[in-house]
Amino acid sequence: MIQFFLERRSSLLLFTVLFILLVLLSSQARNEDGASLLESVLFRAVTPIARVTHSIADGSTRWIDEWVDLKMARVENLALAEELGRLRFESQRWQAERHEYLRLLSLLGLQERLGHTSVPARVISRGHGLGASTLIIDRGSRDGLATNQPVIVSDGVAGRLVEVGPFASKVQLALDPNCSIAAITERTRAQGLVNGRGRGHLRMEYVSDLEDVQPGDRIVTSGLDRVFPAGITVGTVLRTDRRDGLVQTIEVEPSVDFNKLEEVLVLIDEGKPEG
Amino acid sequence: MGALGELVLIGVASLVQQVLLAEFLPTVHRYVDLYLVIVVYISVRRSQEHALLMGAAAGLLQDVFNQTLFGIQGFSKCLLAFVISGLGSRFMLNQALPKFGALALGTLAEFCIAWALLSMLGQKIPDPVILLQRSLANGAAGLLLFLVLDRLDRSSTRALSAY
Repeated sequence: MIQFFLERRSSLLLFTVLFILLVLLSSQARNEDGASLLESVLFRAVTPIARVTHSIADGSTRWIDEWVDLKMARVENLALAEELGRLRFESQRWQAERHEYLRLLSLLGLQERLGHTSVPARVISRGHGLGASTLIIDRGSRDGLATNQPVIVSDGVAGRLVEVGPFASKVQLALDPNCSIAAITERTRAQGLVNGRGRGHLRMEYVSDLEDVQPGDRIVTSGLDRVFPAGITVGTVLRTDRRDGLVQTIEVEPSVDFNKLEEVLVLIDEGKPEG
Repeated sequence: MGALGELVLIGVASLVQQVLLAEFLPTVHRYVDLYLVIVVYISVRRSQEHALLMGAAAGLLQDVFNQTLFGIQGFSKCLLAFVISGLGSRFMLNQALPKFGALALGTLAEFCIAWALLSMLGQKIPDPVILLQRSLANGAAGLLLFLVLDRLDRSSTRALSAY
């Protein structure tokens, strides 16, 4: 190192002296703005470097900031996606609970309106074997349930109990071909028997041909079968068939959507137990 | 001649240039740059370090008497002395023609350096009208002066060795 400086002694001395003289000159010279030329030259020399440095620093800072923001956004995005999933699930749960609440509310309203002693029950299973349409509910003889007791919902007649265990019972739906309900038309009080057909619509039979039954008429229970109390909706008349001459057959649209039954009411002070 | 002697020589040249020539021979004063002649004289004989320091000293002294920025002649003469000294160590500048050439070219080079420096500093640039005449005048004055100075140097060396 020392050797290097010794070898270039004259050049170094020259540059030193010239630099001192240049500083001396620059300190005297003034530009049109009155600023020292040394200051001006140094300013001009330094400002581009400062600008470049600033640009690099600024760019780097911005890049780092953006990178950090991106990372944060990614983390935030994941957290938000998780939160969204959780909230969606929560919302669906709330929605389901709301529907359940509304169903139970209407069931409660029905219970109060009827004035009968009833037991609410939850549907725990469904059966559609061999044309039969049944439900299993979570209440049984320990809750006071017995066979032949009517099962209703707020929309109308659901069916009747055909088998009762201590903790669960089987409901024969009104759709079942073996289920018969004594019914009348609400408007003209024409009596008949509503039978299930396995699926879809119900059929009201044994209605005199002389009775005035029109599509749209409401069919309600008559109470004559001593199972269902009178006045509970069974369905609405879809069409009538008078081909027989003596009686007319009426196709009835059930008021209950049997596929959507979740909670039901069992009227325990109605229905005559079998056997 | 030692460094002190050279400084004295520069001082004497300065006095002659600024006082005697300016007062009694203004035309010569206008064309001849005795400072430059002395700097070239020293540069061809001495090392580059020595030459550049003497060049700077002579130039600064010249700046004291001139209206230009203080340091402009110092800068140009320092650089010139360094270059001439470097050339002197590589080429034979002891003969009359090379000396004349060195002085003439030195005058031009000094003007160019000063011109570049003043331009860079945003100052007024000197008029180059009599530059060629000055180069020739400096060359001629240098030849004459070098003879005198060589004689003086030799006689003083002889006197010192006899003593």
